[in-house]
Parts: sequence; C-alpha cells; structure tokens
Amino acid sequence: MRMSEESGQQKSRNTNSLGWSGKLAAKRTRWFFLSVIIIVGAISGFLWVKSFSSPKSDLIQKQEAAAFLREEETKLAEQLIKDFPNSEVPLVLMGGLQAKRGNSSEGMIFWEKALRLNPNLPNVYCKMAEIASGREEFEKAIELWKKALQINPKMRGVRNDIARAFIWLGKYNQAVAEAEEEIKISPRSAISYYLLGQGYLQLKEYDKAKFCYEKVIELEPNHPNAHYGLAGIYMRLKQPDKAREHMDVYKEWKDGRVKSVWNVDKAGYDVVGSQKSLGTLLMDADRLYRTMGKGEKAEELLKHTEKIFKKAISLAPAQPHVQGYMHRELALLYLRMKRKLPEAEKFAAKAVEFEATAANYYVLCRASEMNGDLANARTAIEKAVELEPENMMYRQTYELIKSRSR
Amino acid sequence: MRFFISGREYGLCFRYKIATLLVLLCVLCRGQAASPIFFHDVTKETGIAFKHTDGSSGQRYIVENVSAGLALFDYDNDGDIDIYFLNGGALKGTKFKEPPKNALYRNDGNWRFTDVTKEGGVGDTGHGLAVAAGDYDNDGDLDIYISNFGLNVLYRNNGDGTFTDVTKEAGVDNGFQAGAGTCFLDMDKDGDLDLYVSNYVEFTYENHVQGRVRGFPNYVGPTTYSFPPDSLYCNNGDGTFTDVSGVSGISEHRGSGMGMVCGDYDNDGDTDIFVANDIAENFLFQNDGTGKFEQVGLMAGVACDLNGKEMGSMGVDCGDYDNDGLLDFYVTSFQEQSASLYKNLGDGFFEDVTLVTGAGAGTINNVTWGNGFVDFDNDGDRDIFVAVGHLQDNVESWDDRTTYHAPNVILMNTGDGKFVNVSQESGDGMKVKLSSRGAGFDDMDNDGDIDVVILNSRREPTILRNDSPSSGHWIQVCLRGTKTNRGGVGARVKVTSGKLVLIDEVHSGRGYQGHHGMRLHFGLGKNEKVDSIEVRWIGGGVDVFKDIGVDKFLTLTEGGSKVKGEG
Repeated sequence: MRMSEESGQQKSRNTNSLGWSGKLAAKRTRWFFLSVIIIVGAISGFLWVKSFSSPKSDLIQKQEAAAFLREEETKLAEQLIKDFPNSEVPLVLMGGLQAKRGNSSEGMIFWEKALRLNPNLPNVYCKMAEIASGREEFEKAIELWKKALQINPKMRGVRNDIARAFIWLGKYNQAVAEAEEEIKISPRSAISYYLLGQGYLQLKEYDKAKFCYEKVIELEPNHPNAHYGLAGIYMRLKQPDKAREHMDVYKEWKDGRVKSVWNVDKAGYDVVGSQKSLGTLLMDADRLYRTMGKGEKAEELLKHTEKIFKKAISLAPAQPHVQGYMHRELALLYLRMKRKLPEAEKFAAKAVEFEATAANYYVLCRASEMNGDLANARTAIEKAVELEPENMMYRQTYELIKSRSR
Repeated sequence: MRFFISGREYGLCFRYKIATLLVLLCVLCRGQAASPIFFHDVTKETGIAFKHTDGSSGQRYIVENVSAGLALFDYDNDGDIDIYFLNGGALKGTKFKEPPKNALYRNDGNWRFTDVTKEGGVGDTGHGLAVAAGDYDNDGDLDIYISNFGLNVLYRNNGDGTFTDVTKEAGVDNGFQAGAGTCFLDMDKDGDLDLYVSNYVEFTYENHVQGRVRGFPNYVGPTTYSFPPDSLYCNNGDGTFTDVSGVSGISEHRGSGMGMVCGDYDNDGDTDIFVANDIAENFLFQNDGTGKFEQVGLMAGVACDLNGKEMGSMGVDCGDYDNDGLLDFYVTSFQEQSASLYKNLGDGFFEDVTLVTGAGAGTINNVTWGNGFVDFDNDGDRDIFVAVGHLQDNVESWDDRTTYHAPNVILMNTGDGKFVNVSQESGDGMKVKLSSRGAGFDDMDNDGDIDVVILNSRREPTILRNDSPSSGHWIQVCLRGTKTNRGGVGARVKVTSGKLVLIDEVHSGRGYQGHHGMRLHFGLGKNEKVDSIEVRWIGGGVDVFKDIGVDKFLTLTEGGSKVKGEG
C-alpha cells in the first residue's frame, strides 16, 4: 500500500514536470492507442461477420456432403441389422459396407456371422476370397472361391478368379485348367481366353497363347491387353513387324484414353461415390423389406432416401460435373425402383443441363422411354452415341429405340 | 481296456516315441532355420543422429510423401564408404526452428560415423528427392548432384573434405521443377560424365490438389498433374554443361519420372537409360552411341507389367540375376501391383519373369521403393532387396490390408533362376517396420559382404550389418579410368572364376533416387581363384587382368594389366 502511494506520488511529480509540450505528447499517445484499438476492433468485427456470411469452399462442401452420405449409409445398414436380426442379408450388406470402407477385417466378421446363419452363400465366399487375394493370401482365396463353387458350380467368373490366383502363385497348369473350365460355361468370355493365354504364355506355349489372344480379339476387337500380349508373343517368335502392328493398336488405345475429371477432383469423387454406394444399399434394403412383407417400411425408406439425396445435392458445390452426376443418380434411383418416373425424367434433364455427358443423356433416354416419350428418348440416345460412338450399350439402345419409334 | 503292455510292445512304443521326438526336433529346427542371409540392425551403434523430414506441411503436397534416396560413396577417398542422406525442405506452410538440411556422415570405421555436413559444406536446405555421385570434372574425387523440388544443386568435391556449390557456373539447376531420379553417365563416350535428371510432375504450390479417400485426406497421385519431359545435360569438359534434352531425343517424351538407372542393356558398348515412371509407361532410351536416344520401352517389353498395365513404378536397378551375361531390370511399384523382374533375352527384348521366378513375392500388399540386385550371401548369384512402406501416412484409416510402416523384403536367389522370400528368417534387421524409401548397398565395414543403409520417410535411417553365415568368397573391384572417365562409370566388368562368369557395370545413380555400389562386388561361392577380370571401358579399350586371389579389394586402372589390391 505504501509502495503504491509512493509510486503514485512519483508519477504525479513526473507528469507535473512534463509541461505543456509533454502533456500534448501524452494526449497524442492516448489518441493514437485509442485509434489503433478502434481499427483493430473494426477489422476483427468485419472478419467475424464475414466468417458467417462467406460461402464455404468447394472442398469443404464436398467433404460435408460425402460425410453426410456415409453417415446415412451406416445408419441404414445398422437399421437393417436391427429390423432383421435373424436374417443373414443385413450382415452381408454390412460386411460389404465395411470392406468398401477399407475395414476388411470388420467386413470378414460380419460375413462370418452371416455364414453361421446361412452357410449356403456363395457370393459371401467370393467376397471373402477377394479380400484374401488382396492381402496376397492366394491359397486361402482359392479355397474360399472353391467353397463358393461347391455351393453353386455354375457361378460365372469364379474360375477366372481362381485362374488369376494360380497365375500369381506360379501354378500355371492349374490356372490353365480353371480357365478352360470357365470357358465351358462362358464360351464367349474374353477374360477367360485372356487368362488362358496368360497361363500358356508363362508355360512358354506360345502358339497356344497366341490362339487365345486372337480369340480375345475376335470377341473384343479392341481388347488392349490382348494386343499387348500378342505383341510380346510375336517378339518372341521373331516377327517384329507383326509385333509392332499389335503394339500400335495398344498404343492407340493408350493414347486415346481421356483423363477423367475425377482424376483431379478426388473430393468430388468421394461425394458421388458415397451417393452411389448409398443408392445400391437402398436398393438391397428395399428388396429385403418387400421380401419380408414390409412394403410400408420400404416406401418410408424411399422417401427418406429421396430427402437424403436432395440434401446431399444441396450440400455439394454447384460444380457441373458433381451436380450432373448427383442428379443423374437420383434419376437412376427412381428408375431402378420404377417409381416417380416423371420426377426421374426431370432430374435426368437437370443432369444433362449441368453436364452434357453421354452417361447423362443415356439416363435421360431411359427416363423418357419409361415415361412413354420415345421422341425425347431417341434425341437423348442419339446425343449419347454421338459423344461416345464406341459404347456398345448406347448403340444397342439407340437401335432399339429407333425400331420402336418407327 | 488293457492296463499293461508287453516288453516287446514297450520297446516298440519307446522307439516310436524317440522317432516322433526326432521328427519333432527336425521340424522345430527347420522352423527356426536361419536363412543364408542375415541382417542385424546396428543403427543405434553408429552415432548417426539424422532424422528425415518430408516437409510435412499438413497440405499433403505430392512432393512430400515420395520422399528421397540416399548416396553411399567414398567422398574422402579413404577406402571406406560414407553416407549422404537427403532431407526434405521447409515447404510452404511448414514451420521449423532451423531449416532441415541434407547430412553427410563420414565413416570412421567400426560402424561409427561422424556428421561432417558443416565442414563439408553440403547441407543443402532444398527439398531433396534424388542424389547421384560422380566425378564430373575428372579430378579423382566424387562430386554430388542433388535433385530437388526447386532448384537442383551440384557440389564439386574440393578433394580436401570440403565441397563447393558450383550449380550456377555449371548450368545444371534444372529450373524450378519437381525433380526425381538422377544419374551421371558418359552418353557420348567422350571421357567425361554427362547428367540425366528425371522430372516427376508439373507441380507448383498454386496447382496443388489435396485428395480424399473414403472421407480421409490423402496425397493425390501423379496423374493429377501434367507430366514434364526429362532433362539431359552434356558435359562440355570445362566444368559447364549444355542442355541437350531436345537434340538427344529425350524431351520428345513426357513421363512422371522417378528412380532411374543407366546401363548397357543391349551390349553394344554404349550406355542406355531406364527411367521408372509413376503410373505411366517406363522409358528405355536406347543410345545410338553418340548421345542420341530412341525410346524403345514398349517394344522392348519393359514399359508395363505382364498385362500391359502401366505400373506405379518407383525405383529401378539393373543386374545380371541369372548370370547369362546380360543386364536385367527390377522395378518396384505401388500397392496391389507386384514389383517386376524383366529378364533380358539378349535380342533387344525383355520377358516379364516376375511370376515364374517368384521375384514379386512380398511386394504386392504395399508400396515398394529402393531396390538392388546384390549377392548378399556371396554364393555367386544376385539376390534382391526391396525397401517397403506406404506413401499414405493414414492408409490404415481407410485400408486395413496394408500399413504405412512395413518391414522390408529380401528375396534370395536360389541359383536356378528362382527367388524365395526369406525376409522373416533373415534376422532382426528385417523386422524393422518403418516407411522406407531409398536404399543403398555397399560394404560399409569392408568385411567382404554387402550391408544396407535405408532412408525412412519422417524417421531415422536403418543401418543393417550383413551377418550372413555364408563362407563364400568374394572380390570387390574399383575402377580408375585414365583416358575415359575417372570413376569408370559405364565400364563393364566380367569376372571369370572357374565355371562362374559374372558381369556388372559401374553405375552413378540407381535404385530409388539414390546412389551406391561404385565399388563392384562379386560373390564367388566356393571358388578360390579368379581366372580373369575383363574391363570394357566406356569409350575406351578392353583390359584383361589374370590370376587373381579372392577375398580382396582391387583397384584396376585403365590401360594397365597389373592389379593393385589388398586383402
């Protein structure tokens, strides 16, 4: 107390000793500090207000939209497990969801639970085999695929997977045998002939490998890998001109590849991928509810998903490729469920408005067709073919629509 | 139920028990059987305090996670191999009290190293990605070239333990680019070393893209950006270089270059160039002997994998794995792709023999980087070492099949053209789990076998001492050019020892953006004598050295026939 009194007196003495010029200087300093405080305060206030009013960046919007969709997908999968505790179907779906998100160990647990409820699930064995194969556990993968075949020996494509795994293991004779078996049930499978060719190539049976690659090209004339394989064989057979011929086809395909917009926009891809995934789960859930006689619940679910899709669309940024894709997916949802078809056409048209891609035109064609508007369907599919003339599905659809609209 | 057994039955039972025990013992012994290759982790004993940073800005710039290589070379000509570690730089957004810098460690013998970066003047603070050592001025000591994100650096060795930054006068800063692999080579056989720089992607802070996978932030791949052409500099012989990327035919091709190696794959006496491109076809530049190149990767069969798929190629080494006198290539790659072994067929073509040889074992589930064809067990054939580690630091969050930190892989050559993954049985050194990038292979303790030094992203390095039980003989050869380049870069060495015929070349820059092995090592197995060593100097003649003992370090001088060596 004493100390402060003394210092106060000292201060007063110092002020008195300043005189007029000193007082003026002190006054200016006070004003200066006051002005600084006011300016800093004003800037901070401006920034604070701006933080509420400024739009979110595209990246943040995409992150929020994707996170929202993923959360909804998880909720739906969990709901299914609750609603159908004695069914293996929700467990299979949840396993798939976990595996898709990179939690393959979790996925395996759900699939194993599903198999305990119903051991006759060949698709589940196939999914488990894919995980094992991805972990470089090829023997285990083969065992799982073979279990799937025990349940359903006519399953297409499984022997191709087994052949591929045998190739990784360096067991080429087994690979060849599996591919040959697959060809018996899928005689027009280009991939089976390709794998057969790869097996023979490793066995150095070049003539047989050459025959297989040629067969692939007969089935799929622009199959790049088969052309690459043939070029390699002709090089070994000392026919460089033939090798160059096939390598040129391969190079042409390679150089003609268009860099997708999603290569750059990974965050956007995350949004549309999440939306697509939720759409697929919804389809499965719809089927399950209806099979179990819970049609009302299915309707509720559709309404709920519609809301989710629309909210995700509003959360996502206004970039044409993102919005175009999301509108198309919503249209597809209606089409696949054969409900709200006029809405489907509206959303497909909106997708085209955002981005005039072949895929968007194709969905518009299908929506128009299902609404009975063949003229519009024909115009849309013509655009799709024009944009992607190589796409066989578009061409076939075009022919079909053309014949029907005559 | 019987409670008693007869004496005969008891005897039989006893014999069965003994037999069972013996079988069990055999099984147990086999289970614990050590591999012929054994590495002991001696990192802590070395006194090396270097810790790598990748710049970790939080922005996930593409130049961070690819990290860097390292160089193993004898900078002070004292007969032992020193280490130069590259380091990341202070990228935009990073905060460091002191800017990180590269580090030079002098080998003091007995596995002790001293940090001589400051005295040496080689502490570049750029964002280091690749390094090569070569005597570009032919003064008898090795200079250092560093490829950065930013301007590159050439350090001239002053011969007294110090270096001088001569980048500007030499004209090799390469512009502000995301550099990758680099090699010195004598492309035109004129007796001095030219310089190749592979450039990664056209990345700038302004065009940076941050990716997302399943809701998690990640580093984007190279295809997000445009690919630049590589750069080739011709040595003018006066301490300067001229950019010949255009006239040489190199800049006609754009790729996402990473590791690279130079070698005479077609045995025509000149040096060709292999560039590993990340998610793009690899380049194989065939030299016409004058420094003009034709890109033949696709036709030669080394551009893609077996299916014609472009790989996420990272590092590349060349060596003769099957002792047929031809250089083969081994290329590391991204997750879900196997590293690839390309066997040289001798007619300009290669065959992808990854599957048939087993050379891809242990490489599919993660990302693979530094690699080398090295005879670790001195049995007369080259094994393969692969540095492993994912490039996404949070990969476990969205893919539980793989990990950021992972053990490295060693593939033992069985001598019949096959490889076996012996990583699990090859000592504590192979159990280290970090995110490895560059790897260098040299005899760090001059005991006749090859040790390993690994640069780990964001962590301390790993130093592995080769403690393999092998009693195989060996020879190590150092070349001295007199008319051709002083370090003998590009020279082909053929060692004949009984029925064993081995070849190798002197490389400056190899593997994943690093440098090692200028002192050539040949494992000789049980052979106790070397019948001859033939050296084909690049742009020069052929010298043959005869009747040489084993387990020696030799220096072979161009134009001479006598061997200078020590046991």
